[in-house]
Amino acid sequence: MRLLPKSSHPQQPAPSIWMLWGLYVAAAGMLLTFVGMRLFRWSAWTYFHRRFQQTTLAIGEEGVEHRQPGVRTLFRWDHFTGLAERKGVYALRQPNGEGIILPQSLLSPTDLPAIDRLLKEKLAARVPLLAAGFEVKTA
Amino acid sequence: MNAVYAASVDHFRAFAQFNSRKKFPRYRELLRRQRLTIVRLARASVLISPVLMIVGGGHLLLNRQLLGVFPLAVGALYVVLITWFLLPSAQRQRQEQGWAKAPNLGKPIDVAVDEAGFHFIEATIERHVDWNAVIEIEESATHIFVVDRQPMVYLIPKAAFASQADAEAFAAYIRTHMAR
Repeated sequence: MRLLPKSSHPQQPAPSIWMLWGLYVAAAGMLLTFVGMRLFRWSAWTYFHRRFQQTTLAIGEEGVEHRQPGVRTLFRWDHFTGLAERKGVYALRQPNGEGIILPQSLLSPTDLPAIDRLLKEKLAARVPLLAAGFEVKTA
Repeated sequence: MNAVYAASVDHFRAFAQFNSRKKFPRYRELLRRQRLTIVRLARASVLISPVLMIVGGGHLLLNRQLLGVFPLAVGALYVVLITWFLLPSAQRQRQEQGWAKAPNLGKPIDVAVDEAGFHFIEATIERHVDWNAVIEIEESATHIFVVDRQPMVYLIPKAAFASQADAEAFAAYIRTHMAR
């Protein structure tokens, strides 16, 4: 009986720690992307909190009045294209895709039902019309 | 004293062109202060990560580890996307798209000044700025640009006034009343 060599090819050496160095670097790169995204999200919240410290929003029959020291801006109801409500935050949508963010936690529990009713009465009806792809103007 | 004109994308272009000449020092300073350190860190992380992926993936491939293809491909994709995002032509295109979506485009704007302050009345938005919140005014050959504390820039074409003298009087009125 003739014995054959186990393999005609030279054996590949097992990957050493040095070889796997690339794996660690690549993994660090992917981790850094994740960290960067989280930091962007955190910075957005920090920015909003900083802005809200100086901002007063007054919601009434005429529209939403945004007040900052020395500057008063009134957005009339027909300026907004819709209302979104997610995770305790109202977003009043503007035609350019931006929005006014109103965290529910900033509203007093006694005011919340009245504001919720007013926002839905003025804005919620616009959402299905826009969602269907048509902006329907009622008389 | 007031002027009425229609909002137009040309006014935004005039501002961008004027602003590119490093005008508005106070406006720039306010924007710089609003830029948070966290944003700088986030941007640095996102920019460094594809470099690490490419270096790591490349090293694995050089050592005949097929696993390196994945980080190399993802890193390369990142580089392509980030380069495209930062290209001046792409930035201009995004800017133009943003202008085209501006609310009240083509609708009349009534801009007025009185003892109480500066008033910018659009079809669905009214802005009233007290004089102590008006921080800067600049003039180009065709426009008056007023900056408030937010910071927000208000664009007023000189053509909206009956004469050049009226436009100059309007700008002079703002200069004498604004915050120093």
